[in-house]
Amino acid sequence: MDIDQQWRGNVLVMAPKGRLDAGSAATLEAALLPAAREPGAKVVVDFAGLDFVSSAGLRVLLMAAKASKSGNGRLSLAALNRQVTEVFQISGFTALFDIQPSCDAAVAALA
Amino acid sequence: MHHVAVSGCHQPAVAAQWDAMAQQLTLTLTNKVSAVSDAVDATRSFCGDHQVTAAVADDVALALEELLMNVVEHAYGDDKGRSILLALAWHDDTLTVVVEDSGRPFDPTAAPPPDLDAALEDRPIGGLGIHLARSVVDEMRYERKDGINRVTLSKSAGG
Repeated sequence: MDIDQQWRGNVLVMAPKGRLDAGSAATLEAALLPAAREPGAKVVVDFAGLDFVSSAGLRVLLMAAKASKSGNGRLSLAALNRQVTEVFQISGFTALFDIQPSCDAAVAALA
Repeated sequence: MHHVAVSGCHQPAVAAQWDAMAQQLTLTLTNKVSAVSDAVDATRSFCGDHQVTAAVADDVALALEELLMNVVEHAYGDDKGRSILLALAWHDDTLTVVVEDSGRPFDPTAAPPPDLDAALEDRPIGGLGIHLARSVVDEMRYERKDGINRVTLSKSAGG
């Protein structure tokens, strides 16, 4: 899995591409968890290039949310597609995350 | 009925058999994550061959990955190199998926639902896969017979 990373001001934007599934979740975990764990870190995960998520991906996102909260950081998710939105609704994840319609909106909300 | 063979050491991760007349595909995979990815890819191709919509293919791919990962992680304990049998069939605009393993008995249709209303601090890591699989298919059935777990999923492409 390719993950684009860039700073926009003091907000780190991470954009995983393709499918976030059992085969690729470890790659996102390795990139996202250390970033989310930084005390006070502001992180946006931009899902615009993400086609598909399974429970293996949800597991990583939940760990990141817990790590972010423990470090008094902020974590937002942006631009969820139809499939990801469906999985979030089925899993009750919609209530656990700050979800923004676009990466720009997410960055603006955290900056 | 299908039987799950006890595999040897040098078996390929995924062995596929295609029956074009009956519009079905049978695969035998070993219990490891890379084989799950291969099997899900093969299932997506099968969906593509039958002009199944992307939404239905995503749901079937999701349910299958969750079921197979559950088998890989739990059915055989630490015993690697064991087999999982997967059969796909396309009939009357409905996709049927059968997963068989010869591991410990497990009925995914009877697994307790996760607590979806818990606060972030109280949400356990994991435990969502079976719930997702059940939620995105039209039907999930389980039977245990002759030492085999068999889970049958069906999903109508009619939407």
